[in-house]
Amino acid sequence: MGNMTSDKIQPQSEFLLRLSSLLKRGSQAAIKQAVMIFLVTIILFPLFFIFNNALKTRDQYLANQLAISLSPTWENFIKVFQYPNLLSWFTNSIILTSVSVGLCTLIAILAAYAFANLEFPGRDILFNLITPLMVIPPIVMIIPLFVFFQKIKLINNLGGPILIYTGLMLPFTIYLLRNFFITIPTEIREAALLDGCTSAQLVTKIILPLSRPALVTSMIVNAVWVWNELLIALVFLQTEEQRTLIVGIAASLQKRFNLDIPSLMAGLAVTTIPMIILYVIGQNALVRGLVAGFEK
Amino acid sequence: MGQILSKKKPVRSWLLAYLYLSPAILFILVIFVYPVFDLAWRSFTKVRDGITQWAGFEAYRATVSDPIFWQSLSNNLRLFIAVPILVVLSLIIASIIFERIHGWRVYRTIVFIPYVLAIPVVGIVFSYVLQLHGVFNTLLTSLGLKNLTTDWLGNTHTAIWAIMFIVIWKELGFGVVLFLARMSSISEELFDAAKLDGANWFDQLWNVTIPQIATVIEFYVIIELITMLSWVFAYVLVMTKGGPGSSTWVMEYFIYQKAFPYSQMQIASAGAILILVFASILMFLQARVRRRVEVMNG
Amino acid sequence: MKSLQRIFGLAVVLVLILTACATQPSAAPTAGASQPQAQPAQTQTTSAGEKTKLLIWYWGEQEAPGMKSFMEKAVQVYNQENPNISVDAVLQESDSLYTAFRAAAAAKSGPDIQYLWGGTQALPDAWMGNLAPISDYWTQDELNHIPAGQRAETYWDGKQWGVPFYQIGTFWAYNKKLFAKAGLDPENPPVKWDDWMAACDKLNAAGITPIGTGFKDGWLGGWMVSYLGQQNLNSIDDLLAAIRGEKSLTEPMYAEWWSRWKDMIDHKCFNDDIMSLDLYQGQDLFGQQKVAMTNHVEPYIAILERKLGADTVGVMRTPVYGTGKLANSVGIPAQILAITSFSQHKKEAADFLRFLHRDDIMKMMYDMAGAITPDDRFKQEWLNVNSDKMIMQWRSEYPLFWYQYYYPPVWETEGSIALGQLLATGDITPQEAATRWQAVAVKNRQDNPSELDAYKKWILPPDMFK
Repeated sequence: MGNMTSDKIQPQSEFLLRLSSLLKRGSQAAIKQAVMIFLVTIILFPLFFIFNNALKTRDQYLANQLAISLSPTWENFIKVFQYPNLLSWFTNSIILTSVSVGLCTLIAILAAYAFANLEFPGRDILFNLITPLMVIPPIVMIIPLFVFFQKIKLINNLGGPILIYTGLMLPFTIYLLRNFFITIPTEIREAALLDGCTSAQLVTKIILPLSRPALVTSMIVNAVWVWNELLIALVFLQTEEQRTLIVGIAASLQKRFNLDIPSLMAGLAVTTIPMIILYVIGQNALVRGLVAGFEK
Repeated sequence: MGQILSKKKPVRSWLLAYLYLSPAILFILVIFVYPVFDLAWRSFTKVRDGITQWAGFEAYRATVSDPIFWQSLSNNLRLFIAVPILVVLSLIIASIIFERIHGWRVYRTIVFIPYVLAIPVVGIVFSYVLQLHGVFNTLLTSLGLKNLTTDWLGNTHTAIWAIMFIVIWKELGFGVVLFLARMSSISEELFDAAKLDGANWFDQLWNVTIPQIATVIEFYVIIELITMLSWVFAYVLVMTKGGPGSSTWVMEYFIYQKAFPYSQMQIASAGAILILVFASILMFLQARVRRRVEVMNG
Repeated sequence: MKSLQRIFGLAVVLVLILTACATQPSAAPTAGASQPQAQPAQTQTTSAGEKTKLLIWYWGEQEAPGMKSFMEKAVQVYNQENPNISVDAVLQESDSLYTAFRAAAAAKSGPDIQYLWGGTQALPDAWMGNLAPISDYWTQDELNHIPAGQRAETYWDGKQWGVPFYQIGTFWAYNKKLFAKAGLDPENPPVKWDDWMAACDKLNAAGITPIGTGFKDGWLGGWMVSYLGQQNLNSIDDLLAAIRGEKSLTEPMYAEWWSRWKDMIDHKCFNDDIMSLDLYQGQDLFGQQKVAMTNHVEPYIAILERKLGADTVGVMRTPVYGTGKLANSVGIPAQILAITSFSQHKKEAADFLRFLHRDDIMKMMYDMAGAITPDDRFKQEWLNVNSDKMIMQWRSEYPLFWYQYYYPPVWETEGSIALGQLLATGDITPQEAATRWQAVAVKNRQDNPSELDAYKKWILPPDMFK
């Protein structure tokens, strides 16, 4: 290593090594960027299709589905907002979502607390019975519940789907929350109890704030699910006024604007915007929640 | 795990626990337990001239001898193929994003968007995009691939696969975000060690990342298997209504069709019980596999 | 975030309270769980000074635009003429038309008059006991004003169950200008099958898509079987015999139509994106003047004629290939109104239905909705478009038969729709279609013994068709 020639060679080969690894990394990076850009295009294309065509007139759409609308028009959105029951659909969706998610979260908190922090006979068996219920296709529940609700006149009543959604979301929510509650160190709980906290205060003042990520995650996931849900809303809310936004758009609006695709797209856009807003707001919390929820 | 925190007598803590559990148990009884029993009962009866009578296995025989039932089941099985595809794609994309390439935050945000969209919305858009004279075929033609164009949702050979592609499109983001979240808790040292050993991108993925996030991968697989079995009704209803012919019927659609338009409740119930059995078998197999993997890993 | 949670929690409680309040009122008065909110009318017994209330649930705006305005006006007129009766008519949605009615029937409380699509889309409710026969309230003379072929669709077990409300003549609209461009006679559309196939060839040669329609949503199946399926039959009973299982659908009489449908596919009569489009979307191609023909119903053909001009839009019958007595039959089925079995005012309901067949009211329905009442008292001179005139003429010239309204619903969903789609995509041959259709029929008879029993009571007395 003291040789003149080898001294000259070393920097050269090192440079070549660096260059080749740089190129490799560069081309690798380029490939990765290309993959991501390709992915993003595929993901965003349907959204582009919706919003772009929502701004076209019917003739413009028929002429070219792909072209960017150069003279955008709001007439389709106006048509959608003028659709008689749109406001009721929107309100129904809001009520359904907030009440069922709220109710489910409350009940799940109680149950998860019991499973996580209390000892009682049958605890593990019960928990392991409840969790697999997530597997069952909702369609399976619907027939008996439909017949039953018909008898007690709960069809075409928002209360019906609220009860069903609450029940359907419970296994997942209980599972998620319980797994999170377990991770709260016992020392904290014991300290709080020694300080004279009642059980209820323990839950509200200590456990809930600490579980914020899991709570937010479950509420957002559940809210998205309820808002977007089709089958149950379709079967249990049958009259125009009672429908949810999704069912209304998918069933009624699609029929009405069967020949007017841009207006249909405007309807889809109207449905999508609330969810995207919710997502953008809750994004960080959601990610944090997913991290926390699945750490073992 | 939970310890006995209360200094009160044990019996009272049981009561407290069951008190807390009671609303949940009530709901689960009404929403899950009651329907299953009702279905089971209903699947063994029939209604003739307004009177309900015992029918034995008639409904099951009718269901099992219905070719559409088997077509529905096989379509769900076809959809299962999406799960490994989802895992592989999610892993690759999560790894790329995890490397913090330029713009990774934007990519992470965008990748999850399909998950928050409603299935009917997604279904409606794609059914227009995939029309014979729709945008997708226009794109293929402009790339010189005219002979690949077809009526994607109107062709019995491609319809179910087109649906599968759309389900993948929608579910991918969930896996990516899930894996990313878990990846962020893998200690750096493991990656450094691998790089020192001369591991390239793929090696790192295979030897470091995957084993570390194995539990999350397993969770994702379970969730997606459940999705392919129990949560695809809306796609079929909105995009193909089971057509062309019956080439895109799935189990949920079978049950729905038999129950509502056909009003053959007993056949729908039999189908529902059968799918429950199928799902239970799947869950059981999955638990067995997991236990075996755990044993193998020591 | 903590305050956000608190606010959220409060909001939930608030909404819970609001929902509890909001859902109470709608739960209480609706004895029939799915009555539309706007309905105060209930069936009650009259006492001195109180009005008899009649509730009608109807459909038709979707098929005959203007029907809603017509019903509102008709009800207004009737209420004025009959001060002791108060009629309320509510337009139903396609999706909930039947489910809402079945729920009301289960609760034995709801409309006095129910609209149903005709034939086997109405009779199951008669079989279930949800309807009351009109023949108990109208005399045979009154009923005889309705063409027999249209009465037969809801005549069962010796009684007339449905009152035909409006007819939907189902034919083919064709574009005279495009015909001329392809070298076809615009005033004499093809009448024989081979001529029709040749016409498709000529249109294709001229670069014009012959027929524009949509099969994605499946409805076309019911149209095709009704255009083609009956041409070798000699009477309605020939079909009923096959339904009862006395004949096999693989026999040429019942099977040939699949091959004729295949003819149309082979001659490229249909638009290539037929599987991408819903029915209305495909029909709209005709409205956009991009195709030469489409399958359509009477009120809409009239609308097209008014919009594009009588020199552009013509109406033609399905060309004939068959050799049975029904070979040149035309499809002018009727949608019906029926008295419900749980109505407390059946006699008044029957009166209102009589009112709808009054001259001035029939004319009003045509003027406002373009819908024609199936009644021989409907006057030719009221018609104001060519296509309507031609259709009315055909009604008196040719036998009436609409396949779709006689066969069990399963024969459609698993037959003309499902198998038709497979035929259209080229997945099965006509022979396979016929065989599989027979299998569907056999399985249906097995699974539905009560339906089979009901069909055995569907006997049409020959003297009905004088």
